[in-house]
Amino acid sequence: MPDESQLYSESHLIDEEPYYRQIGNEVNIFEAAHQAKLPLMLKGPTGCGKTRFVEYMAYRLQLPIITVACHEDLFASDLIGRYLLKHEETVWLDGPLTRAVRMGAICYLDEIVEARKDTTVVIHPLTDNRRMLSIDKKGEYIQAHPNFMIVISYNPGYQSVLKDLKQSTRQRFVSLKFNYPEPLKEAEIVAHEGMVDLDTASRLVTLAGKIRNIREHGLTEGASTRLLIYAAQLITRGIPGSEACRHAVCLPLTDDTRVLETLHDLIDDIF
Amino acid sequence: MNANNCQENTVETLAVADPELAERVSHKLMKKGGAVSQQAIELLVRETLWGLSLEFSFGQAIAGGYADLIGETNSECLQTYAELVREAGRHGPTVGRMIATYLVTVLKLGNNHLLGRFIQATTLMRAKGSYTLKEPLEGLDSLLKKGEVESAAVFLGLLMDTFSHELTYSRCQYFASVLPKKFLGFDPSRRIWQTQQLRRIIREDQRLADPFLDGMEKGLKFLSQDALENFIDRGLKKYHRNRRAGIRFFALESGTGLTTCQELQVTVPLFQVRQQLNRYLLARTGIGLTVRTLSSLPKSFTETLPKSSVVCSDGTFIYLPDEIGDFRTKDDNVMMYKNLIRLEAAFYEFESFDFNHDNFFAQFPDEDLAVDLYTIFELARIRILLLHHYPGLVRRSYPLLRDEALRLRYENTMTETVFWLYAFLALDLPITDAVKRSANVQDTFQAVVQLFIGEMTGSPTVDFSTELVLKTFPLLNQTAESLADDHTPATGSGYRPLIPAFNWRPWPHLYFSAHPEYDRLAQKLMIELANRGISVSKSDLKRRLLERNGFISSEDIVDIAGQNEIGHLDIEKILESSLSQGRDHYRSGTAADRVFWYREWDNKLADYLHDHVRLSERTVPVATNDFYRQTLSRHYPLIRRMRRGFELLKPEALSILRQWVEGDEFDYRALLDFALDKKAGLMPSDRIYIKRMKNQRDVAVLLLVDLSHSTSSLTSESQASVLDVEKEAIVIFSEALEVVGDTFAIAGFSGTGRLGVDYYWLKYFDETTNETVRYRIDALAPQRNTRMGAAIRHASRQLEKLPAKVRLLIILGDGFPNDVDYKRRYAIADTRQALLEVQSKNIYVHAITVNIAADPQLDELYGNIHHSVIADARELPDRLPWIYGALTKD
Repeated sequence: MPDESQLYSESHLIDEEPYYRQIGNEVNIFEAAHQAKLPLMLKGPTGCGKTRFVEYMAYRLQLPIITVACHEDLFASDLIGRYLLKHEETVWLDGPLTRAVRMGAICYLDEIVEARKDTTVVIHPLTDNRRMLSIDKKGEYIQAHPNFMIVISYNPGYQSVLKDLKQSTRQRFVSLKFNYPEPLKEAEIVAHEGMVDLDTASRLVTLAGKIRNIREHGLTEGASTRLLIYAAQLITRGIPGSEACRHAVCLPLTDDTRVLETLHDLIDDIF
Repeated sequence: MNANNCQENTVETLAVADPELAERVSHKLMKKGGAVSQQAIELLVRETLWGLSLEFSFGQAIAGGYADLIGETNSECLQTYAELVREAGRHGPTVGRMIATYLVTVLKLGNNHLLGRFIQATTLMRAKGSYTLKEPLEGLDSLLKKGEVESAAVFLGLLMDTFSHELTYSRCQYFASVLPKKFLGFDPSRRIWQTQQLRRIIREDQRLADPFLDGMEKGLKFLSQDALENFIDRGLKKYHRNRRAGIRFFALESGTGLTTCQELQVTVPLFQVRQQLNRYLLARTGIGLTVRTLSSLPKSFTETLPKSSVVCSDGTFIYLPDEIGDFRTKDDNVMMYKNLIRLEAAFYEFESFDFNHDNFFAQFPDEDLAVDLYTIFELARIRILLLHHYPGLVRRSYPLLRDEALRLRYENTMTETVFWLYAFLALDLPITDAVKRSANVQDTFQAVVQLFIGEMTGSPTVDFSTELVLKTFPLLNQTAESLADDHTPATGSGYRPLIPAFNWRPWPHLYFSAHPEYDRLAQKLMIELANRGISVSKSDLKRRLLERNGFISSEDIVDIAGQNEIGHLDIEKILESSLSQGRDHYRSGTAADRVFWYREWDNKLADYLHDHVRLSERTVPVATNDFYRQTLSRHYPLIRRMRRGFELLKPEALSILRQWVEGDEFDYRALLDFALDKKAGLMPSDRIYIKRMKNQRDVAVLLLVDLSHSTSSLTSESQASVLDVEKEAIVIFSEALEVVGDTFAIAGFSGTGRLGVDYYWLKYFDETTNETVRYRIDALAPQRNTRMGAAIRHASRQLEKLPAKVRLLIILGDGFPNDVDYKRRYAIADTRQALLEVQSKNIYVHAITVNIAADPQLDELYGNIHHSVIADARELPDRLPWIYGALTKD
């Protein structure tokens, strides 16, 4: 009978292959880093496929994946684990990082820069040659499973200078740079995920290209591939193209009426 | 003795008093021929002698006046002149001289109504003081000389209304100076009814004139006649209820005033939508095209353009009407601007000028016809591409084009075949049966259309259009000759050029001749390369210079010429010998406060030149031209908005620190862990408190401003230079930073040569933005060159000393580094190296470049996420605080 940890591991396996369109050599680099037991940092704007890539690689390598969305109130105990009360007894419950270390999963820390720096340093022993996690409360040192891998994601552009990854953290990772795919590939992705025809997907991608031209001229970020997929999904369900774009692409990007007007003009041109 | 001799003898009497005057008068009178009577001359001499007896210049003015009037007006008029001048002379020679001078033009018109107003107005003004006469009369004279009689009458009415009030001395001076300037500044097509409203205001209360004139500058001038009257009705009602509110209403300083003006406004001036259009252009094309008014086109171009031009471009700017008021609603007028931009942008998106223009059109016997054919085929190609990429744009804009084209049809009758080719191919207009039946049009038309359809494949380039011109010109040339109108000028065959809808067409001549400096550079470079056996097209070079704002690299040359042809040639050396050297300017006069030596990176040696650059720290001498205060006033709404936004950047007064060893209250999550750890037999942590701490932002920023000579160039369509706009941005930035409380300093730099880099302190870190700092900002003026590396190194040296947690250097400039022996690759490499040095000290750098289009070389210089480009410098005051806020938000 499978034990709890095995069950847990299986529950984090991805059953169905996630759709992912390779852009460059990222798959080979990921596999090589995993084989070399090196941690990986994915850099790129929001909604360009970083998380999807990690899921795809988890499926491809047949590894469970545990995702942690980092935020300001994330403590070390949230990652490592804590004691809980159970029937008058205290029971240790592993945190997501500890579970990943034990079972040999990919631990994906999304938007690592949002976490407090005193929390981030917890991963340092796992990202160098020690590959070890120390659980002070239990007095336990866990050697990482051979299959264990840490992957972090990070958006370097448009960041405030007050928030940045420390060099002591950055320099522990092999890095992959992500960006929005080139138009043809992006259209294929949008067509597949949004279940629209290629022509509609191409128009959405054209719109995104125009919007990305005014990044930093009124917009903090360009339109992500994710937003295009949302728009495509609305179109599939009968929403007219221009309206779908307004709600799924423009309004999430900005509240500035002047910039919105420009975005609406672009939509009117394309749809 | 004949009549002439009598006249000569009479005039000679004058020579006793003033021989030169007599000669001038004789000369003038001789030109009038027989129209000069003896009595008139006697009158001239008598009155002139009288005038000379009072004051020399008065006499001269009288003589000049009579000399002008004699022979062109009747004796009654001369008598009137004599009486009025004598009357004026009784109040002193100054008044007399002015009346003698300016009455002439009034009398020549023979308009009694105007004369009556002139007398009334001058009498009123004279009663206030002779100092009130000069500028108004100069203004009146300029109007009359331009033939604007009605305007002149209204102007005199305005003067009468104004000076009939009880006015203090300073008020009289103010009106005498301001009214002519403002009146002449009104748009001639609106001047009369706008002045009627001004008169109405002044009649109500002369103190309302100032706020009203302010309001006119800010936007009331764009209201239609009815709308302006409506606005004033509302304003006066408000004024009667509450004077202060009324004044603010007229000056467009109150929210109600602004809203009312915006609601009533139908005509849209370009400046109100410029930012919007520029943003659209950047989004659509990805290149830094910006818009300008048609009136800002250099005269050398407007001469070549049809009078009715509505949109055109020269590769850097798209020129649009100064204002559009053709439609009934404001939205429709704004939409018209957008439609014009959408269409014009297509030429850049689909590369309509990407062909070898050198002598292309000149090879055709009828260049105008060739240009029209290129227009037709190019517009057709654009239409097909737009339909594919932007069906919405075609759906919205093309009906307007078609309607306009049909309206212009009858102005295009002499080129019927060409017109219908344009209508059918470029606009997809269906051909009428009448046209189909017309033998003149039928055969040629069909032949060209078939050729077009046959050649059209996939996504054609501009070569498609130029090749079609070559193929179809012979056909159309015959047709044009057979339709020739003998009366049409200048084209030899008599062909009259096509007038497309809104004159929307590619203007290759404008595009290729707009930047003569690039033309010269391209020519020089082409010759240099040709001398080394490399053949490149001048158009290709010029196009690259246009795209790169005058910058061209060795990679560009390799790309244009083709790799194989370049071989081992030292392209950098060719470029340096071809392109112009920097100017050598005088040094500024103030003595250096302190001197520093800095190293410089030599990219060829791949090493530093130590102690190579001498930098002198100087303090900007103060000026009191009130720039700072005026900027605060002018940008008051923006500053208010900025202050509110920057208040949000201030950290929350208290931040919550969790899991602290002491604090104000328990952290319940930590408390749970405490209990559980204890129960588990572990040593619980003592970090079970929440502490509230006053949050401090610990940011220090140094704003480093390029003061090079190029910042004296004017921003588009204004009298403001790039430096003026930068100064405004500095003022707003200072105000914003005072709110958020970050430590900041401002410095400028310029210089000539490696021994003459000047670094000017405007505000030190430990100074507040006091009067002295404001005066220093007031005093900023363009200097010389831009040796960026040394300035950046010195700035980082200042920032290094600060203990702040976050240190930020913002560089504000208008182009690339450039100095004596500091150019191109070398300058970029050294600047880049200086920036790397700064970053290695944990100082963040962000560069803002204004007034040029985005350029990949800027990415190379600053890194693609560490700089912003603001193509239209006038957006800088708005954008700078926003950029800073985005960089330093928590």
